[in-house]
Amino acid sequence: MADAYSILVVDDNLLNLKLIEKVLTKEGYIALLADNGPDARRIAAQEHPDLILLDIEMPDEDGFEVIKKLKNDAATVTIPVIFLTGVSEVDVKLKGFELGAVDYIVKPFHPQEVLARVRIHLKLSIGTNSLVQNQARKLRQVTQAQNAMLPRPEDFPNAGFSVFYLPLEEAGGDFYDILNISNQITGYFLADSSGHDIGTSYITASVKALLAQNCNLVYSPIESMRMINDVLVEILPREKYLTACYMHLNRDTRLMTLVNAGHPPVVYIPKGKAPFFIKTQGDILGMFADATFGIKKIAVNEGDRFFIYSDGLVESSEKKISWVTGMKRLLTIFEGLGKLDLPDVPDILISRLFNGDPMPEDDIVLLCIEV
Amino acid sequence: MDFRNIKSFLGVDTNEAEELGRLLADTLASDLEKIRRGLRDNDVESIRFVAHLIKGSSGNLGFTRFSHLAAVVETRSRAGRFDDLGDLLLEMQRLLEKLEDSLSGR
Repeated sequence: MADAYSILVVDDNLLNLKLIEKVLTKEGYIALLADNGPDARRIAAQEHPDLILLDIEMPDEDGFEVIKKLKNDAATVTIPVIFLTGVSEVDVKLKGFELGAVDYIVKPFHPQEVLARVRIHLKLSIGTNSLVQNQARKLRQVTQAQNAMLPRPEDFPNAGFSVFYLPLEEAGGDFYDILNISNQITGYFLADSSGHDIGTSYITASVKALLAQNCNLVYSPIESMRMINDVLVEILPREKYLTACYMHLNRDTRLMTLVNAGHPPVVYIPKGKAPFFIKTQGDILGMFADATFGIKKIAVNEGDRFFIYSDGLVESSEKKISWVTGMKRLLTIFEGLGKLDLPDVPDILISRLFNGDPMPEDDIVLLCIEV
Repeated sequence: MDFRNIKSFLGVDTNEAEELGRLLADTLASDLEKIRRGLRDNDVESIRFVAHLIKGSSGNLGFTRFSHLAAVVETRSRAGRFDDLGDLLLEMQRLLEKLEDSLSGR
């Protein structure tokens, strides 16, 4: 047997409460009763009824006040409210709707009308809930698919990296990839796509496929990025773009090539030395067919570390911290990280950065790479 | 006014109709007294408010005449017309007594 729907009836008139209770219970609903606003709000928050029938004219806390508070409370905001009113003036009805009611019933009412309205709004609520559940399920699938695309350090034991990844929403705008170009050469790619919607996850999948096709021994790193840019310019919607950083590391020749497409500068910690930024200018990916990217080649040594990250690590619109101001303090936070075990570095860095504060309002990805 | 009318109006059984009828009778007796007091004290707002309640509760149980009389009291009190409210109250009192009679099996 399916669970019975519960309806909270709020009316200071005992007779009305009794009447509606009888009508509802006869039809198999569970009737919860309250004869004043504060009790109604407490019951709504505790029992989370499927629907609320709320009288407007009540002493002390009237129905308008009750619905306002219900809609301001996360625990009760989604419960549909039908208000009961003895006043047929349009202003009263409009005020009820403005405050979030889904319907109204004018008193005196016929019990069959109450039942009909209860039924129709429960049906609507069920429909909306299933729509929401459906969308949530799809987004969870997107998250799972996106997470499955993100390489884990244990899957690439020779790539020497650790990672912190926190998407803001189900479909994160940041992503990274690790490319085994040869036994000696590894590619590290990190991008931040504009937006956090489902379309973004489609971009993630597309770029991953493009990286697999274009990051190889045949193309130089800059050629790979140009090829990927040309395709993205063709396929991305006009308002979409990416900032990206591609690091190409040959552990045999000890040469690191960095290609920057409008992305925050990489932090470099040569073994035993202080951290510094590798600053390179470059156009964003996917916007201009004739884009030029910043490129830097550095001779590296074993034990050197590189940190590629998305702007969520430094930017905060809430605290009005931009790249420029955020990066001033960033280098000091990287100090000493060269000595710690690589797998521990991302979490330590994040805890140093946010120091127990709430995480920022953007995706965050941080790749820590050791030569 | 007969409590048995509630049975057919709401589709409830006799016991439930009696329970609701008794509740209505008690409520109406108290509410009519409040209106009389309001008339003595010239308290327009409480007359209007109580008449408004009576209109709803009696109408909800199918007693349309009583509900109509309460609506007239509400409208007139809002307009400040107390001249013939006494007659209306008398009729309401008579209807209430009929309801009480039906409940006590008379």
